[in-house]
Amino acid sequence: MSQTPLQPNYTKVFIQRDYSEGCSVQFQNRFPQELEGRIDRASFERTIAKINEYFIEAEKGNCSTFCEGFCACFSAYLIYLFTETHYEKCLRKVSAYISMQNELVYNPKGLNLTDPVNRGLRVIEISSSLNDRLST
Amino acid sequence: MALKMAPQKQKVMRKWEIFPGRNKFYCDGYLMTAPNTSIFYLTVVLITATSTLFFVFDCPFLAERITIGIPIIGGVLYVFTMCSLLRTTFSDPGILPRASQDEAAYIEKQIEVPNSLNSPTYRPPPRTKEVFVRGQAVKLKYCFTCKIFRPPRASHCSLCDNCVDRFDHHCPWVGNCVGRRNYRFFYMFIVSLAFLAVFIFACALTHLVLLQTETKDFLDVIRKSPFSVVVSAICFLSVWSVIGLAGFHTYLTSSDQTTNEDIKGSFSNKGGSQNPYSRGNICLNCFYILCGPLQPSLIDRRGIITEEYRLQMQSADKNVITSQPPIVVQHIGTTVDPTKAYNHVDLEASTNMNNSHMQGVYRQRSYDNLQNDKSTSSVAHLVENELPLASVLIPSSSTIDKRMRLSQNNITSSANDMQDVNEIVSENSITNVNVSMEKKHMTAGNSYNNLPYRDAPTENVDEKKPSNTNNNNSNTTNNNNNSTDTTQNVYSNIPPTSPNVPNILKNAASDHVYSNIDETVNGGNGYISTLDLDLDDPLLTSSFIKKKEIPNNNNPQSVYNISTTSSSIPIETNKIILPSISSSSSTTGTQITSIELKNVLNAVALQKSNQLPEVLPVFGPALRNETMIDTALDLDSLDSQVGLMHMNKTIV
Repeated sequence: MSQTPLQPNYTKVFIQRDYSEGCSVQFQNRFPQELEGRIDRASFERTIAKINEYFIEAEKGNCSTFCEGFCACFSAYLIYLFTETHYEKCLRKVSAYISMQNELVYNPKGLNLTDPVNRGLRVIEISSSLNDRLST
Repeated sequence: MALKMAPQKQKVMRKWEIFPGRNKFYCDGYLMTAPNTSIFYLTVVLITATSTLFFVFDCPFLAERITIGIPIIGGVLYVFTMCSLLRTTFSDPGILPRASQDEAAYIEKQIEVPNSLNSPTYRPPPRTKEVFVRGQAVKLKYCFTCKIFRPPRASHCSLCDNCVDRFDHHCPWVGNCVGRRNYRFFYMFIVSLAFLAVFIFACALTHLVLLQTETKDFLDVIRKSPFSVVVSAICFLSVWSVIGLAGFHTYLTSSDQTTNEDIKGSFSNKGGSQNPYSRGNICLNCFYILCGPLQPSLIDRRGIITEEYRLQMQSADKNVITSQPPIVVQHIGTTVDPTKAYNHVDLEASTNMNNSHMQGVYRQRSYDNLQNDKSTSSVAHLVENELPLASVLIPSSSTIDKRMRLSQNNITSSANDMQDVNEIVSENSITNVNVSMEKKHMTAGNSYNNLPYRDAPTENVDEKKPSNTNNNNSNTTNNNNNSTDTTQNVYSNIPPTSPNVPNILKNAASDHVYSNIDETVNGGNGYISTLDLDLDDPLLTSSFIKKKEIPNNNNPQSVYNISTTSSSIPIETNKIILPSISSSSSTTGTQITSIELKNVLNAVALQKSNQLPEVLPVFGPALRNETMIDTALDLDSLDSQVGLMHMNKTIV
């Protein structure tokens, strides 16, 4: 059922989350067939891998993140009112990376990535500005 | 509340103002809570009052006798507890924003079952998707409200009407859901509250014991420091549950489970499934959950609404409407006074939609009923997809609803509409009956009456304009439209064939009976309320029978003179037929009514065959049409013919 091909005139592709490693934010690296001919597989996979990398960094628990958590806890979470968390910094990096990729790779080909933060970190939305070409 | 705010062009709209869930927002979206926070205030008052009593009455004594540290520790604990509590209450628990229109459509396309388009009775399968989390199969359920496949561990909170990531539980004490983003605050609140309660209890008790050693008389102690007794009593009562809760959540945290999963027993060893989310190390789990990186809020409450966002998020509601089966859509908009009906629905709909995009959109009443009951909104979606069920099940409730509405708002106007009926009824000397009562009876009456009056309603519904062709007819049309969804569904089933046929019955009887016999599912919608007929007051029934006579010009004068008892007799006959047939064939309304109709028609045909050399109503549309018209005409004049009664009985 999930392999049902999309309508030919469909203009948006959604890269879903990959839960195989738990609930951390990761996106599926599988190349969607709707993008066949629109973009080469390697650059797509590179983009997704890079985004995934950013999210791994955002969610990993190392000394600095734990320290941040401890500090927040001991300040009765008042520190969150003033500082930007590690996660937010990483999300900023993701946004910067996506806008850069859009400019360099995707926009010239009539595609546009949407920052997953705007979609609740559920999906990466790839929309096509050319309505009729995003077909298999 | 945010959802009820009218959009203002001059002001910058932020996303929290059109947030689809039921959360409350404060301070321009900085703070958010669950819709009902009364118990949260109780919590705050309890903690604060107890602590205040402790600080006022116990602390000075203890600071003097023991150490100054006691009020300091107490103060720090109290501040920490309150901070955690407020942080839990006023932060986003990890709400997953709902899918945009395109995303929802994409998911719909992916899970679409090929043959679902053909069959209106198609019931969508339970929508689940299976994914593997660290080699373990986990089912993702589709959330019909949020239009997403919920991530693992997420759950939909029915009180807040949101999907919450890593949903733990909805805690009324803190007035918010507890989920991925505020679990750490909640946990720290519980733990610090346990410490605070134990601390205050111990201090108050110490106070009492010290006084006891001085005065040697317990009554004297109570007299000296009554509030210490109160404080220690409160703490003693509350400390056990708080400690129990803290212990429970410590266990959950160390094994990386949620309350939700624990209650459901998702990872009980009996099922052979291990918790795939655990990091396998108690300390790591605790560190990660309590001090790990904190995901920012995903709903972007204070983001400014762009036109694209509004389009994507709000048209999701419109999408629901357009995805309804065409038969049940948009009929009530053509009622006699559309403004009132429209307003009524608009009010209801505005609870979950912004008014701005309600213009020109009319939502089906049955859907409204379901949609308003948020807990069943997913069911509403289900029901929507199955046409016959929706149209069969709903009318009873919506009829009642509408009747209430009529009796409340529209008494005057409906009284005008019903003028025709009133006249007739008054001839039967039932003058000032409650309008809603009349409506009720007309409801049943009209659906029974479908046979003679099909023409006008057909036109009306199909062309979506009131028909003014015939005074009598248009009146009846209005009544029909006002009275039931049932009858509306009936009309919508009829193909718009030949509205110009002189005799009203031509379309009606033929198409409808045809559909009854051949497609019981479709035809059945219309005749459901024929069952109501049995409950009707004979007087009113007779009144509509008389009314029925008027357009047919079937000697109205004599009809008006008929006494109520004689005119109700044929109906009684139907009552006799009905149960016997139903017991022998089927119990569904569809079956019953179709068979009943057939029987009546047969009876009439038999009777006719005595008078006319005409064939029974059998196949061949044209022939049947004419026969049906005649038979139905005969049906109308049944009341004066007692002989048919016997024939019916003999047939049965």
